[in-house]
Amino acid sequence: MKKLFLGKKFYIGLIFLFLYAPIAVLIAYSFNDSKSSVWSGFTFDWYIKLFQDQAIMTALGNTLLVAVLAAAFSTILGTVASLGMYNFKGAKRKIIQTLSNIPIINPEIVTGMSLMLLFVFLGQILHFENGFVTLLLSHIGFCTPYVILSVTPKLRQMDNHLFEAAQDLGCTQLQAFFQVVIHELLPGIVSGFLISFTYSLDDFIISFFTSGKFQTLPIEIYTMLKKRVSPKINALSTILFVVIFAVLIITNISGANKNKNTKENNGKNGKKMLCLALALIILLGGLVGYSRCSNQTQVLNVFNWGENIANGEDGTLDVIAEFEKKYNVKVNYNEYESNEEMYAKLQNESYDIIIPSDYMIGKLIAEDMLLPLDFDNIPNYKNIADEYKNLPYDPNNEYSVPYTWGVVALCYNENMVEGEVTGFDALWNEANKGQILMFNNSRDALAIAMQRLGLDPSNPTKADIDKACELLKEQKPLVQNYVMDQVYDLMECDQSAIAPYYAGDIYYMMDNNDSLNYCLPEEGTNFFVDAMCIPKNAENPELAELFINFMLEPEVGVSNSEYIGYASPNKETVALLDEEIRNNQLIYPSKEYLDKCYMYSNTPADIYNYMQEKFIEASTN
Amino acid sequence: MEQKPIVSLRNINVKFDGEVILNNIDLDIMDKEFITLLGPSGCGKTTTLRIIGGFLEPDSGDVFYEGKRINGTPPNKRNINTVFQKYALFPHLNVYENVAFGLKLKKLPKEEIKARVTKMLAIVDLKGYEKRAVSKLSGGQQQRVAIARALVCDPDVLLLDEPLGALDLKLRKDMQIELKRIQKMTRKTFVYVTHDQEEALTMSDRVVVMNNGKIEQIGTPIDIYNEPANAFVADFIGEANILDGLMLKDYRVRILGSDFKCVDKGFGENTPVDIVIRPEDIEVTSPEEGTVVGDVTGVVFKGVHYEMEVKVGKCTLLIHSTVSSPAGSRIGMRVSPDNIHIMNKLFPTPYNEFTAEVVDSAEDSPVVTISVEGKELELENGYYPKGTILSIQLPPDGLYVDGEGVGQLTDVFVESVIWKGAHNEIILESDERKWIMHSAQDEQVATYVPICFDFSKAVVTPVNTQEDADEN
Repeated sequence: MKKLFLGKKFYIGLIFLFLYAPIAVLIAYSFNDSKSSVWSGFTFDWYIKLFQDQAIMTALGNTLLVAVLAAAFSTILGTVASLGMYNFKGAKRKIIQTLSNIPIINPEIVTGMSLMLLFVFLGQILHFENGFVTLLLSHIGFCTPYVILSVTPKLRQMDNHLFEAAQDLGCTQLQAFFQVVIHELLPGIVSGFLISFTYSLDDFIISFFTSGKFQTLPIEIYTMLKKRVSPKINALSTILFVVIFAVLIITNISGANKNKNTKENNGKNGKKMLCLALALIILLGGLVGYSRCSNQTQVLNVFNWGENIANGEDGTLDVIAEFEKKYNVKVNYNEYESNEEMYAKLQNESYDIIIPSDYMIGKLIAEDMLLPLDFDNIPNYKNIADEYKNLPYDPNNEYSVPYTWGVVALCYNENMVEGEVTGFDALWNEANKGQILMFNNSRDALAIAMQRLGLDPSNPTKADIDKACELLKEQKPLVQNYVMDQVYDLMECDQSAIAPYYAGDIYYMMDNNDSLNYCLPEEGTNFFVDAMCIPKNAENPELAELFINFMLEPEVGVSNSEYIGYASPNKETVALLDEEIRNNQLIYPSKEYLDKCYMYSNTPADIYNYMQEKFIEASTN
Repeated sequence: MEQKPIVSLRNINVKFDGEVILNNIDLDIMDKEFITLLGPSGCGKTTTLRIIGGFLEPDSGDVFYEGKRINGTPPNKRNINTVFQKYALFPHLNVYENVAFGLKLKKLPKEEIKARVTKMLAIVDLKGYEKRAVSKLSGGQQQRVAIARALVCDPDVLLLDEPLGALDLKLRKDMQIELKRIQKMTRKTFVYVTHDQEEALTMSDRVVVMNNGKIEQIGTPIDIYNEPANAFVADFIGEANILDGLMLKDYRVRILGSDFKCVDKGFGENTPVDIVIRPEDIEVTSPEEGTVVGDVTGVVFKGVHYEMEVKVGKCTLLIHSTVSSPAGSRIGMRVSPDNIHIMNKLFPTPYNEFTAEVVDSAEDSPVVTISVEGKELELENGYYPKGTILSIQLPPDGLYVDGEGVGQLTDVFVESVIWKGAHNEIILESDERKWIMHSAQDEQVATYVPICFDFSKAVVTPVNTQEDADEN
């Protein structure tokens, strides 16, 4: 008997371990004094930085606003709907209830897609863009069924005669509802509100399709994946978890008290909660309203890579805040995680500034999606070193101003790698079998293979791609994994011997693990540039040019450069950098070396798709 | 008692989903009387109450309040209050707040509310309970809060919907007396709904017996008990022996094969009637002195009296007597003429009489197919050409309820079931007509059953001539 009891305890322990271990790890990492998964000391830094991060705080504010409003509206809507349904009889009620439950079981991706299509369609007719309103509408839409689901049982439990009794004693129907019925429904209404609030808070899929330029927290976190999830997010997640946990405990305690005390407290507690929720709504609404009003001047929509601008951390400048202050404007800052994602969003949304990579700029120019720049408004353009002007993607330099640049290099672990590392050959070295990492990205992986085959990676044909894929298939048995972000952890924790990656990131990894070293492939490598452009559909091109000019200020460049880690094309900025960085061959390779390098050019869509397809075929089984 | 009606219902009809709930209800409720609507569940008594309260609009008919038509007036505008079946107290309010609810809505001054609530709580014996949560009260206390909450509004009419149904027997008895006391003290009109006949007889000034959406009888408890208008009322109120009888002529009736003197007249000669004899009205004698003779089959001691079952032929009689005869003994029985209640039969004819058309037949077969309410049934009674209309006289035992659940006519409504000593007399209603059936089995009133025909007991005669049939 006793044994059985122990076994039970063990089993329950196992369940809790399984449920809570991931959260424990998350909380632990939010105090880790390193960006990687290696523990290197306790710190509160991430919490401090979290509150200094403009993008995250904006996204958090947006998310809370949407969550509170969506929860409030859907609570009202859902309560009224369940009352209506309750008064239907028999088959009619069943049909309507089933219909109202379908959105819950409908795959979110389908809901998201269909809402986007609807809003884009209506937007064309009524001339609006996806944004706050469409996001709010979709959230109200998917939260309402949950409210119905939580209010309906309360209606069923309620003594039917309460409503009549209130009328009998002199209430009109409306008075009867507000003086009696609502008290009975309150627990259901409150839990409906809380469910809606949490669902809205963490919804990603539907928001992704309907939010337009309005950034919410889940979307913000997703865009951060481009580089790596900042431990700031661990800190934020910890705070969210603790708050929800606290709310849960408080509700349970007050629930227990409710049972202990008289039932009359029930209604009063509910009333308190309702007042609290209402106060929250008003407060948040007021805050956002205030922030909108105070910046009613001009708005600049910036669409940038995740973590691709200095944000005030580590003694850098908060570039966006600085720009807003200097010109008394408001910046809407949004992030993407790939050129292709940016390209897709650009079809439906208007932005004033985008920062695509070289080949994508070529594509946008070819498709006439960029506005020629007026360089009279960008006097700081003179700060750009000549070697970064008139690059092949924009031969006459009409559309773009370079922002960062870099090369693809090799990162290796001195203690693990076999043989000398001089070029990409090392990635095919049998001796390193099982410890080689490779790009999980068709363009970069195929380029390396083509380079080895002596083909021109800048402008591949289908035949070139086929040959390169053959070579990748040969390499496959040696490859430990095809990775992007995971490269940090694998290299920093001595899990892999060698990997090709972007120079700025290799520099960062070396900082976290002394055994790591880099190699600029002797045969040359890919040279890439990200440059600032103004799309054709920009609403505020003048302000955008002002922004580009601001970004070219030497001091601003220094902050950005330090934060991002990639090389700067701004000679004034470079002159201000630490000698150690300025002379680092990994970040700033010599002109001679760069002459051996190539750039990607605008790949036609069919070739690009072919690349994608063939690469997946070669890198998977 | 005043003889002025305060609430009047005229020709009230209500249907739900095609089903008749109230059928032409006419009722006058007198000022300051305690009137009870009594009937089995589903008889329409609660619906009648809801119409008076204003919670339901009749499909047709008028509701008058002190002579003014009040159809369409919402409940909050009627000077009528209700005590609901499960009290419907407001759980978020305490006892005081519950009782004060109606007065607050009337925007009375605080002091007046307080005075009235305190006084009312004293009347219902709940002094000192003001601050209690209603969920902490016992059933009887909740009941009294509900009554106080309704009465404090000073309505002219108080409606009570089975208010004692949720209480246990002892408490119910106490509350019956309590309610009557409150009614007398407050001098209000009480309209009380119950299915408990004893409750109705104990408390009421007048009782309205309802069944199947119709009023069967209105009268004082004594009238209802002693002079039931029909077999249904007799069966529902108290215990009764209900028997088939034959009115031979005025003042003379034949029951169980013996002739009795009675005090009724005007039924005609040789008319079948229903007879009601209360168990306590049968006098036990020696076999020689009795009008009828029977064998005692069972005796149960009931405290005040013995309850005996006596078999006369196939029929079992119930007798309440202070002297007992042992089981197995033979006794004689007598009934004084004024204790024999004679009533018209619930069903107008002793047989089921209907016509049916022959829809299929063959000359060499005695079996023809006839159509009854759209159903094709087989009748073995000799050959009739197709198209012949047959008049069929089917005795009550020619119908039976199919035990398997598959009848020849399905979904037939059971209108009434009355035990006739030897069998149940069941009145059924199908789509087109009513049927009478005798059955040893008991059926539940107000349910639907499938029925079958046994045509071997039927008398069949063709109605139209041979030529008529040929023309078809």
